[in-house]
Amino acid sequence: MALDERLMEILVCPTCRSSLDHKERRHVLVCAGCGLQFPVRDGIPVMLVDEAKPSR
Amino acid sequence: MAQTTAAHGWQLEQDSATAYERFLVPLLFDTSARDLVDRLQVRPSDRVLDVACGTGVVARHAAERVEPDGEVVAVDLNPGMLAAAQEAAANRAIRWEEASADALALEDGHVDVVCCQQGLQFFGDRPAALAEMHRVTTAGGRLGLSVCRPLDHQPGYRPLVDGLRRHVGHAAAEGMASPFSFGDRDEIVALVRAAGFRDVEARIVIWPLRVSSPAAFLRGETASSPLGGVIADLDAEVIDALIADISEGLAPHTDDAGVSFPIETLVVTARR
Repeated sequence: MALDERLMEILVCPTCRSSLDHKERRHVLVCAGCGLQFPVRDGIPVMLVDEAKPSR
Repeated sequence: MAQTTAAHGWQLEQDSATAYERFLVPLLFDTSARDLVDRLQVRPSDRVLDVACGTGVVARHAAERVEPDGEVVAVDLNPGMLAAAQEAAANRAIRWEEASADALALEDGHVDVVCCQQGLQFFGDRPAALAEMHRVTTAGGRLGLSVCRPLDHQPGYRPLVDGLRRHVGHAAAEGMASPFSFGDRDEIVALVRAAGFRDVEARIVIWPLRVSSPAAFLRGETASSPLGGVIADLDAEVIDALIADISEGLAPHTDDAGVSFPIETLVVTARR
């Protein structure tokens, strides 16, 4: 399921509040600041730090 | 009444979320959600945030009012609730996000209106959640919160909680009592002020509830909660005794059409 474009514009990282980059093929949002990767499940971004992974 | 941190472990599976949408929303939350967005004067072009959106009833009412130029973002910690919410809101332009109330993934000052219907009592860190609501609200923006008043003011839920305590156990009773666990006016007003909001006003708002029978009340409430499985596993004699006790407690509220009683809520509005 595609992620709503407008939602992408308004979401920020809950930790550092930097903007996010949608990596569609991996179904993740990657924070431009701290690098945390937030999963997108069934078109819903999961903006929970506990569920985010650090970038490699 | 969905929650955004698992303070009480009172989280729903998706079947419960669907039951919640079918039982609790028509019973109370649809009416109280409409009232909340009315009080907040949600209007076209507003940006609205619904915190602890549950199955999204506040978001749906807000979406009706902000269209076509406004937007509604709805967040909840519980993926089962969000799945039920998406289904219930099929054609509405609502943007759903799984997030915790105490760490919202929105820019500072992004929204005009923040709503939180029956969520605050479940948050693990209420000051942090209110600080986040303050942060994401624009200067002059509006906040609207509602919670249930304590169990002493709930003639319908008191017998339900007491019956569960007697026949099922302490944990079941505490779970059913959790929506009524944070309803003190002074405490809530102080918390909202401490987060930086001004013009804080608390109102007692009372709604009439009607259910077809004490058994239907027990079934609907427990199916819409994490207790559905617990009740399903009880012996028939225990269920009968539980229903008999609840019926006795609800006797003063029983009529020819079933049972009707008031539920007392506290609605707090404020400005940033």
